[in-house]
Amino acid sequence: MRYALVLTTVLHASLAGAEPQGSVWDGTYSASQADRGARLFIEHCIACHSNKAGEMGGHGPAPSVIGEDFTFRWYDASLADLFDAIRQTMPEGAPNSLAPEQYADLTAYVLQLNGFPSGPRELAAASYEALQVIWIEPHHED
Amino acid sequence: MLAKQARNLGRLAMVSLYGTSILAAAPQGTDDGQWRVYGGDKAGSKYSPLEQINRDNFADLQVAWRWVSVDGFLSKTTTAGGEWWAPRDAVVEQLVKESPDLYRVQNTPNYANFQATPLMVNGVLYFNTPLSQGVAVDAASGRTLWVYNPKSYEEGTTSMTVTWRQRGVAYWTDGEDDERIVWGTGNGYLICVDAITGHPCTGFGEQGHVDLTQGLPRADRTKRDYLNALLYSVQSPPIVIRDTIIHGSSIADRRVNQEAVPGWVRAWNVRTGEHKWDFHTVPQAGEEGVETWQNDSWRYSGNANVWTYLSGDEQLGHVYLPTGTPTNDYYGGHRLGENLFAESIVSVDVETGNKVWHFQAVHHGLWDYDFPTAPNLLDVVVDGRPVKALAQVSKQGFIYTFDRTTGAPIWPIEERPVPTDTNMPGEKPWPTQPFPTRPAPFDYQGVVEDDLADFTPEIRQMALKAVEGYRLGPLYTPQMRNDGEVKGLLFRPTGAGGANWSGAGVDPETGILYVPSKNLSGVLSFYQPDNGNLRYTHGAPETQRLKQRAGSTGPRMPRGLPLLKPPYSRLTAIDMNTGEHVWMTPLGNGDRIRRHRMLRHLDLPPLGGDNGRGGPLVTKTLLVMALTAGGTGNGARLVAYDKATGEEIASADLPRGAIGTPMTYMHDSRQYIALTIGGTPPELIAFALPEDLLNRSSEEQ
Repeated sequence: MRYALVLTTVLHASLAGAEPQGSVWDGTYSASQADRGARLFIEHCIACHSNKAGEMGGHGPAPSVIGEDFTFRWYDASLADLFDAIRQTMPEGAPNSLAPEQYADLTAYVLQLNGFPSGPRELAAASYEALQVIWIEPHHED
Repeated sequence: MLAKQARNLGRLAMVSLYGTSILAAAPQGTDDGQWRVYGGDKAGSKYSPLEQINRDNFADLQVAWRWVSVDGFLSKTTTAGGEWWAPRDAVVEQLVKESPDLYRVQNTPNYANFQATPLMVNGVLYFNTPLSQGVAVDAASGRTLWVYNPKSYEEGTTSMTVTWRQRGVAYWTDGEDDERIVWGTGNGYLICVDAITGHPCTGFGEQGHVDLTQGLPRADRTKRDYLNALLYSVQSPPIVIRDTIIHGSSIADRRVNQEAVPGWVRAWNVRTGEHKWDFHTVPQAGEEGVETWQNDSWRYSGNANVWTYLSGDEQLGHVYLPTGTPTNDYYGGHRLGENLFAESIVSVDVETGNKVWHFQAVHHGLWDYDFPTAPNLLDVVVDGRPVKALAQVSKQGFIYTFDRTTGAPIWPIEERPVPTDTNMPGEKPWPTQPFPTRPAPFDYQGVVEDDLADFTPEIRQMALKAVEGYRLGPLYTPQMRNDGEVKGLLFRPTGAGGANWSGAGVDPETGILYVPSKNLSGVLSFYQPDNGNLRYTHGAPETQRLKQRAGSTGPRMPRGLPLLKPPYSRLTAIDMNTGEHVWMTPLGNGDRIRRHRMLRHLDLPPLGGDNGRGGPLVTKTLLVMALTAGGTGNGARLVAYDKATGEEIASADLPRGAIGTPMTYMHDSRQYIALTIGGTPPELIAFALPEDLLNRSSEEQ
């Protein structure tokens, strides 16, 4: 049901009607935020995860954060699930060692790497409840 | 000058006052509120008898001071002999400009892995940074007293499995006026500096530096590995026993060639820096164990190194070496045989370097089950008999327990048959492995279908689908390659699972050992390297291979769900007098999983998984661990547990997630807990009770 429509607002009423819903296709982060995330990715992530489609990072068999590897794991999960997973498990060996805002920036960059569009507003780490109802999902034409 | 003399006099008085207890110290526990060794003591206990911070006031802890890593601001020697200081990125940019091939791709000097646990000696904290700089800060204020920068980053990227990280330093004194700080660097030097000034030790090696690659086979400084990284680094603190510095090494274990640097453990005279002995973890011609390397594979095989820290017994004069997997981690077709002294505990006489006893925990290792941490030395009473024990926690979830004087197992360790069938050409898994009969394993071992997540029937089906085509099996099931019929072996723990470098803490008053561990599984992807002579290898190949092998190779669960049953990490207390588990608690609630849309209605118990790599701190009254979640805004926090029950007592918010293992000390009647945390750059912070609370307590007494 969540695949039915791509709506233009960040939060909107789902067809299920129970709670406001949103989609990563609605522009959930800003381009400048993704730029900040890119710099953090170079500092903290790239030794294990490549930022190029189809490549692993140089360090070992860490899964790709781009493309099918990403979509298989994260489609039908919420942005909160993704944000929490990055924050609570990364960087390997030092999870949650960055500021919440930095994890939001990294989440934005990962969304950008996967082709989800930016928008006018930043993805806010503090609004966890809002992130819980923004779904990572295929484009309706996929 | 006068100030320094006065300070030295003060120090002398302290040394004199405390000297007897320090030099004749029992192997366990710290003295005088200090923390003079990486693990608190040379037994690796991580224990302090301090009790000012206790269950009643832990929640009142406040950050007393913060120290921002000096790795953010580096120096570089200029061609005219000057010293240029600038932000790290500017210095690195200049270094790359001068030598474009200096660093491994995507691995320029990085300050993030600030894993050190500081020492505290006479009111000064000593530690090192990921870029191998030695530092001293004031214990009361965090003010920097000195920095010694060996500029190790000017030589290249540290060996490829351990890029840019350091865990600490060692302290030594002659009991008079000579105090030294020693550590190994990312480019394979041993550094010795004066503890008071930070100036390199005169008369030690070459101006306080010793080249650790000298005399070591295949450790050629002029060469780089296939990823353009250095061949030999040191990342863990050395130990000093009876005036002898002993250290391990970091040697890349993701390789394309059979030939590698052997992980000999090396010893040096702490006064002069002269080489004292090597222990050949890969034996040489005519030496014991050489017959366990078939086809003369000892001639070229390497690794079997101690990449972690060591423990030792001053009274016995023994140092205990926890060794790792030989080249390479997961394919042994070029090193058939048991491969002594890899994945072993070796007791070595510190004066001669001769082996006293050894125990090999994994024969012909195929799972990266390096011993990841120093063994804990503890004195216990087993069946009414006092025993000087050694307890080694492991990645594979076992604790191996011995009489550390003789090497005799405290409880029987049985050699049991294990599966040997594999589709890896040329591989011959060893048919038996040692299984301790006691204590019981402290984490999951192996994977069978019953281990798959079953929070709901739908999730169970997802998990069953995810593992289709993979081989499952018990601990020590041989590795498998993807041959079209089987996708590979799903094995557990992985090399990052079970216990790791933070090791275990011990309460010497009770003989209870506390070990954190992680429930991690994985599948390896093997490939045949284009530019190497290993038949099969794993991990990161050359760029073209990277592209071909992109993507994860293991079972994938959709929607961010876990594959296996919880807990995803745990803390286990084990009474080493009896070998009985006392309690186990998941490390954190695991809310990131519990509040998943498919799980939140289930009211699940704590699932664990809320911790990094840092280990426990044990005090007179508390067991302390850093968690990544559960604080304000679900932030990181420092948690105090009840040592007897494992119940959480209280916690204090951490400004950022922890990186290293915490330590504690008393200075000017105030107890502190210090640990490294994240940041850009990362920080060392110290917690203490507020002054007014301390004053009130003191008045009440």
